[in-house]
Amino acid sequence: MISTSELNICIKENLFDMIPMTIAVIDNNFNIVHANNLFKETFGQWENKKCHEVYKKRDSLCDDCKGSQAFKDGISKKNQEAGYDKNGVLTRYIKHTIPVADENNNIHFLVEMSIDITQTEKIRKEHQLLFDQVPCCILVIDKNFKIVRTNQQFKNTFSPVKGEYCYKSLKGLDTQCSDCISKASFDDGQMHTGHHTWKTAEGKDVHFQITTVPLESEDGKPEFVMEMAVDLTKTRQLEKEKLEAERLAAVGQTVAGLAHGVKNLITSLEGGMYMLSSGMKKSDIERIGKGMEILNRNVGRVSTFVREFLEFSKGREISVAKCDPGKIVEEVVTSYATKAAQCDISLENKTKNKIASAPMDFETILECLTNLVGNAIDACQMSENKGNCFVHVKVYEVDDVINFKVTDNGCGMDYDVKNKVFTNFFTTKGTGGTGLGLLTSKKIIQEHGGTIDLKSEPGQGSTFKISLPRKRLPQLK
Amino acid sequence: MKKKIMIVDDETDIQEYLMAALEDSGYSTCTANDINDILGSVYQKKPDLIILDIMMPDRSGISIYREIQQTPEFKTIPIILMSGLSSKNEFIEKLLHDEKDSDKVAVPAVFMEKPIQLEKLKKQISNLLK
Repeated sequence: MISTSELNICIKENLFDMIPMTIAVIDNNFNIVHANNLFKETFGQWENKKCHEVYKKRDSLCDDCKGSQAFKDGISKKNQEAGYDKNGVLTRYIKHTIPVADENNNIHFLVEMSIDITQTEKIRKEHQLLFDQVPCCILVIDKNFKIVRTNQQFKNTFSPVKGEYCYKSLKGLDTQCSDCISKASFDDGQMHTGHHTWKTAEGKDVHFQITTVPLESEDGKPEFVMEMAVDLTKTRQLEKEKLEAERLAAVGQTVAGLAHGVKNLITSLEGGMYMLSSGMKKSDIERIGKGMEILNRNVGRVSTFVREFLEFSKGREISVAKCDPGKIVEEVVTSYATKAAQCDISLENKTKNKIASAPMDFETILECLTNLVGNAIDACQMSENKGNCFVHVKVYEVDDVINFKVTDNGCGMDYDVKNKVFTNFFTTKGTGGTGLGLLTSKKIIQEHGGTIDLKSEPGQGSTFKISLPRKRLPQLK
Repeated sequence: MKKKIMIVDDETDIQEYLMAALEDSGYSTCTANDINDILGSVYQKKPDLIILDIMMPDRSGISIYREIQQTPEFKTIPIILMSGLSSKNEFIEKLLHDEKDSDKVAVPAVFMEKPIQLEKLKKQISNLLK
């Protein structure tokens, strides 16, 4: 067991060398008169050398010599310096300069204690570089929504805003934004993402995707929030171009499909002509009658075809308004209620939760669902399972995507039919359909930036799903 | 004995037209009773050649073609595929080889695009039945 007095002696004798910082004692001629082991290990030989020779490898006093000041004013100093170690490598340290006064208050010596921060400083610089050069705008706000820090990318894009309220400088508002995601991060300590339009230094409105990250203080509560903003202008432009390309592709398909439909009609008309002329040659009245019948029927089909095609090609302009997607489902279910009951099909609205309204063309989306539900009812009627058939319609939202689903347990479709359902003029209803219904639906959905897909098994039924991502919906005019 | 041609097309007008025109050219004709049991119809009626439309309700001509092709005793019956689709190569490529489970089948003997040129069709038939 070591005694207190022995401990004191041990500390006095060894502390100077045990302490994990460099220590040097300097006289008023700036000669180093004493130093600990770590000092020697770091800066090399010090005996008979002046401090500036050892720390900075220079011959004269430093320009901003803190030692000179401390000798004059007797006040301790703390500053950050850069020097060279014994191998000539740049080293950064924080130096405490403490004057040691005698009983007459004269200062003959200074004790200089330094902590090496070379690595810390390197990491800090890397962080700063990352913060400034990362290809997005970053700002840090405090709990009062005042901007306390911004990165270089931010400074290049926006006017100087430090100390201003974020909502004021970025959106020109006098109060906090109603959909503020930074507030959400302050409240729940979680990351959030959202979309905002901010005004740049050039006065342009730019659309950003923003991610907020809470920066916690020691008590674990968010003290600051970092907002990282990615400019979506180019992405939006690409999305717009993609939509346009999809629309053009739909037009191309329409033209190809038109040709296909017309060819079938021509073949039938030629058949009628053949029957008529060969009947006349043979004086076969029955064949002449048949030829006339075929001609009449197909001239009628040409009229229906042209009428439906015109309906398909017109109305390219959709009329967008905020509307309730649930209402569309209600309406289609109501409109088919009587027909479904007559056919002994159970038609139900399976929507569980109300979803927020969205900008869309109520009438055309209704037309779309009407097509799908009409098809589902037809599929049930063609099913061998008559009497136990159902058609379920619902709307729900997942990850900002509005989904309409029409499910039936009707006759279903085989592989080849499935591959062709969205092809123009393909019909499984014989001469009873033109095959334009689903294509019209697809066109409407594309105009809303969405997709339609199909799952179907022969004899099991089909499910059509329309997916409309909110961010791709048409803008309100 | 007259050669027998089976015509499979959902459009009854086209079916009647082809039957009349081919009978006028000295062939006997028939139709499939039920396209969902095409093998039964072929077995029963024993056609020498089949003219098959591709786009039909309920079932596509391609799946019928595949079924006949994969039945050894009917494999040699020449089949003329007929469609309003114009891009023959792309179409055949896609539907014969891009299969979910079945083996590859031989490309059909003749592909005819609608509207049918009757003289050309008759020439093809006579070549196939030589």
